[in-house]
Amino acid sequence: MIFDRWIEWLPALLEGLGVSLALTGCVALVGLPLGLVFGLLSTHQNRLMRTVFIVFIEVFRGIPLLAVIYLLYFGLPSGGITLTAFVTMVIAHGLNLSAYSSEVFRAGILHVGPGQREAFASLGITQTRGFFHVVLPQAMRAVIGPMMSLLIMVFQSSSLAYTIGVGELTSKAFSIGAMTFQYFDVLALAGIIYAVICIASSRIASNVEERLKTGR
Amino acid sequence: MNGISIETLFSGIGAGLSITVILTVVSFVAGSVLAVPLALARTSHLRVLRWLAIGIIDICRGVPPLVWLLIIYYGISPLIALEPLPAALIGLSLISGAYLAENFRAGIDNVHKGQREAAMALGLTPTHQFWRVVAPQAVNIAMPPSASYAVSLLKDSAKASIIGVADIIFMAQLEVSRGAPAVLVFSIAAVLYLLVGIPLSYFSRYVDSVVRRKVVTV
Repeated sequence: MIFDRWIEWLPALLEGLGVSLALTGCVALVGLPLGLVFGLLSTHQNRLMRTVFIVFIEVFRGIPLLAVIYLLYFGLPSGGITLTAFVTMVIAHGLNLSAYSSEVFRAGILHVGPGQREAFASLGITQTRGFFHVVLPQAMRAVIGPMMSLLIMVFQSSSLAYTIGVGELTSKAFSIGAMTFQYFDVLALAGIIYAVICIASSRIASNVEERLKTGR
Repeated sequence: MNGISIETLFSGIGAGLSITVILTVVSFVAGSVLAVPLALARTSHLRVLRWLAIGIIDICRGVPPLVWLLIIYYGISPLIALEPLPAALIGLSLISGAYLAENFRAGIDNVHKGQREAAMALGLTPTHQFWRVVAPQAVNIAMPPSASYAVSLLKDSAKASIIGVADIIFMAQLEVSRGAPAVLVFSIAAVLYLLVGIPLSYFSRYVDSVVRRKVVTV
């Protein structure tokens, strides 16, 4: 029976799932702060600065993640830099996420109307303080929903780590498939695990977004 | 660089360009065809049809594209022998069908209710109400997000290289295995993706601006 085998494989796949989740967390830790910085710089007053970062973001958004992974994984060793597959994946995916999240942050910052800036300026609050205490908190509320969908995409794309042999969910499932030749059964189980997590978290994300939209 | 010139690398990797374009175009077209019945079922009055459509769409989108490709290529091949290219086309079409169905659904939902009421008041049959009044406007609303989906489909198509489809990334890996420097090779691959992707995303912005002028939404 397929279910007996599923129960037999489940521990290995759950271990892989742990790596997938750890990968997603690390990518978020790299990609989100970097994305915030890029988002701020792409709205910078200095035109040259702005252009440089907009070009950087557009280029990264236009390249498949797989190309970035391979570039770093096969390219860095020839430059004398050797990183583990996990770290390579975190860097490649983190850069990729930073380009996508910077757009979300930028939209969030632009979403806060000019009236807010004028209000804190007239209260004598400095630009920097006003930005961190007035603009950013409001931008964050607009950002949370899209950011959650981005993270679900990151979790899905973490499956690409299979190509460089990070032992995450897809790698684990594929190697079980290679040993038992029951590719369909084990990959289907992996697919179900991915789908359950993605569907559940996107339901939560849209609930949260709905609640934020209607106000507290 | 033992006799490897940038020109030969470009033509070597560029040999995969046509496959990448075929993957993107065919799965976008096939996905659009699949998306119509899915979107109709998703907006149906019948609860069973609606749930069925939601289930199919959620599963197609919830399983990562790479896992779909592996399931179709390695999982189904013992039953039906599939070459890598058809396997990738089937997988990408399924996924794009699900994403486009959601776009079409949003298009149908966002046509103003008054339009259907007006059609009803004019005595149009329900079929005519939908196909003559609602659908043409829904298509307009669904067009911009679908055009920008085409850009992400182009990047998703890179995953087909993993099951052995000879696209840009696959040809790039081939060049690396022949001893070309990886940073250069994958930078060239990136440039090729940008050459297709940037015009495509400009086109999607153009579609957006045209539609914005034309459509009145809720």
